[in-house]
Amino acid sequence: MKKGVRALALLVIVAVLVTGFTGCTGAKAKDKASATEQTLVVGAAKDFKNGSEPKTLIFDSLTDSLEDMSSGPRLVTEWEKNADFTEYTLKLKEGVTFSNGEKFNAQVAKFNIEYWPVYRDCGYIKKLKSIEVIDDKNLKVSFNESYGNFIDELSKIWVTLPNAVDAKGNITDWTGTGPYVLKDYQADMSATLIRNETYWRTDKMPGITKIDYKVITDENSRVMAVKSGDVDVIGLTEHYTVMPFADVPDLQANKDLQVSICEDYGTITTYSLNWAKGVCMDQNVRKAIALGIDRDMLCSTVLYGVAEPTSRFVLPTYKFSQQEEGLKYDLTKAKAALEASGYKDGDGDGYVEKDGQKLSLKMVVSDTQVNRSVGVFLQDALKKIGIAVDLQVFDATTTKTMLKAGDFDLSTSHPWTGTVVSYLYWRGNLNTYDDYGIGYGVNDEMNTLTETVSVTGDDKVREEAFNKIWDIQNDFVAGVPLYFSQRIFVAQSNIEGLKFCPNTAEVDLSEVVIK
Amino acid sequence: MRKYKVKTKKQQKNLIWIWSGLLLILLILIVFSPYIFPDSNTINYELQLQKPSFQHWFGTDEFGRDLFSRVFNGMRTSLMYSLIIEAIALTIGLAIGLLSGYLGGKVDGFFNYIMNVFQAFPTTIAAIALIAVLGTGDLTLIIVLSVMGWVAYARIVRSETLIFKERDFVLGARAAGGSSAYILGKHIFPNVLLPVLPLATLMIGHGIMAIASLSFLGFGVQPPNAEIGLMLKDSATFISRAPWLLVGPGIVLAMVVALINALGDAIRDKMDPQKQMMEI
Repeated sequence: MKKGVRALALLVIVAVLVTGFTGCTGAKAKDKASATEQTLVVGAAKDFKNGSEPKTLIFDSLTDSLEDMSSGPRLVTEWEKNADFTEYTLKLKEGVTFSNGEKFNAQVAKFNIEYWPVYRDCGYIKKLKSIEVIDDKNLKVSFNESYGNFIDELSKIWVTLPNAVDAKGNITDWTGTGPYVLKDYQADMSATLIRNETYWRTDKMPGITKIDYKVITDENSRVMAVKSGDVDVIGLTEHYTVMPFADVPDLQANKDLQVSICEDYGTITTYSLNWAKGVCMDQNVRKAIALGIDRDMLCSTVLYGVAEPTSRFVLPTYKFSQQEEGLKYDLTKAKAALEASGYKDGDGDGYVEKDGQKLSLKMVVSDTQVNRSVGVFLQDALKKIGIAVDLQVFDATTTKTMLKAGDFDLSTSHPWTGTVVSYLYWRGNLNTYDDYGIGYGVNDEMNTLTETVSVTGDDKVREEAFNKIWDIQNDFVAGVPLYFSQRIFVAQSNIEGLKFCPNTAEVDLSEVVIK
Repeated sequence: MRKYKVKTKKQQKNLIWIWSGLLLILLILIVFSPYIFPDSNTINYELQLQKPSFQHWFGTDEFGRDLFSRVFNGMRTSLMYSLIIEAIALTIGLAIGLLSGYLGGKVDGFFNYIMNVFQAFPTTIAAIALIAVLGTGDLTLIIVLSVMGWVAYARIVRSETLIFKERDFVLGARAAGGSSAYILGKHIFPNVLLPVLPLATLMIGHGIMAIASLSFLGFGVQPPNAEIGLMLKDSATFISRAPWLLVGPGIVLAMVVALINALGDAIRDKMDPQKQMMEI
């Protein structure tokens, strides 16, 4: 009997050891196999077809955004323009084919230049006169009036086949000339891409042969997925920070992971002030809000020292960015601004009133850990200058609905992006509500300056125009810049070659290898 | 052969006293939390994410707020809302159950249909759908959970009413010329109320869980107010760095709900003679 028990115990021990060692060997073999396969598993926040970035893996733009924010050649290899920027001659890259074998030629380029600008916030469409196909590889584009920004805007045109789109700007056939081919797609779940073996940019031919794109909508789950090794990288396919800043120090300390933080390109988290309706119509109230927020404290506490405080709208690395910081934290000036508008704490409850009405703001933010934390911080900060804040956290869809209806005083917003010229055409000169709050088109002078920027091809003239734009924005305070929200990649340590593109909405895997 | 143990009245009484005693201690902390812990929303970044200590029994959160005080303040919010929700649901359930059971016929058929429709929807999903229409907010939360919660009461009240309306004392009252309102109010209502009370106690715990679940999903109480579901949601980011953010609120939530449920069970045992025989 005793012998039987011993034998059984021995058997169990051997089984455990064998299973354990087999498991170890299996894992290593799998690692080795995946390295040879060069399959990159990406954890993404959004559906593959809904984000701006994933499509850059399938399609090519007509021109490239270079590191100095100027335009470089891509599908359009050369261009000539006349002296008053009313005519452009474009030369196209020869020998480019879509992944289904169809040719990229002047007719296809003409279609894309005419079709996409409405959906990509390109201002040139308003002044476009005609596009003449000279031959298979050359086009002549004419404008009714001068348009100096045309070549820069071509970097926003991602080329599709003419029959691959519907009437509303949706791509129906995801066939492009880009580095990858979409093989499989499950809405809101996943996508599989394989390398386009006939990719025309041989110098940019990626080493990664297959991409498994997994949609993980919850921010904490994404972080857990990269920690557990379920995905190779997160943050790659989004142009904004997609993880709680609180996680970054932990991830940096994890030896199995590498954390890359982009210092040069990205956006500055800016809260929108409803300058067209409610209490924030008062410029002094807006100024008081901007002056009453200690951005250094915000970044060192609830943003865990990862984000960088700033009161600029755009990073200085971008062309035509503002030279100086905007309104900085100054409690005395903030209180003075409120007093100048007649707000005083008459009843001693800590909140200021005017005509018997307590100064109270409705702050609407979408539901992420960072937004909730920043919301509570701002609530506390504004309380110190006597402003009550009713913080309302909603899911993304409800938030957008409320912002579009103008039902807010203070809200999360879409910040100014680089290039600033592009943003100017999108929200920079918008004076109505949209999904992101209210635009920055605060007066008629903004219209004039937008026109100046679009007409000229002279960077000095643009710079002067932008200096005036920044003066207007700093003075009017249509929004409150808070911090530089860096793009962050978190990847397994065996992945090399990940890099940030000057165009933050572009994914470049040309140098990526799995070791 | 089956063996039965009779729970003596003394044992039942003891059980109720134990659960009530424990619950009372927690309730005192919860109900008087704004007075015991007046500074639960006060931010102090110097105390950010402190581990549990003698000063801060449950530790502190990312704003340096004392978690122990926030947990009890949060439980107060949940408990208060849950009581309001159950009071509303009970009132609706009683009214519909009494009418449905007493009047019978088409009225009963109609209310039965309505109850079936309501029970066909999972509460949380239906609540989320309603919140999406009505918007987030404390009042919406109360309305939505009340609207979804009355059916359980109505079912029991209806079935009890069906039994009691055929009893001799009700038939006698009717023969003596008592009006329907009189019979319902004087004879049936007091009798159907008793079986509903244990359920109401259990449903308070259920309500607390529902509020916490909706807040966790972002449809309930708004920050910076303390609420257990919201606190658990915020703790998700810090699960490896500051696990105490999860532990304190989780334990108190589990304890309060378990004690309320135990008390509900004890009251049910006390009031239902048939349940006094417990199988070993």
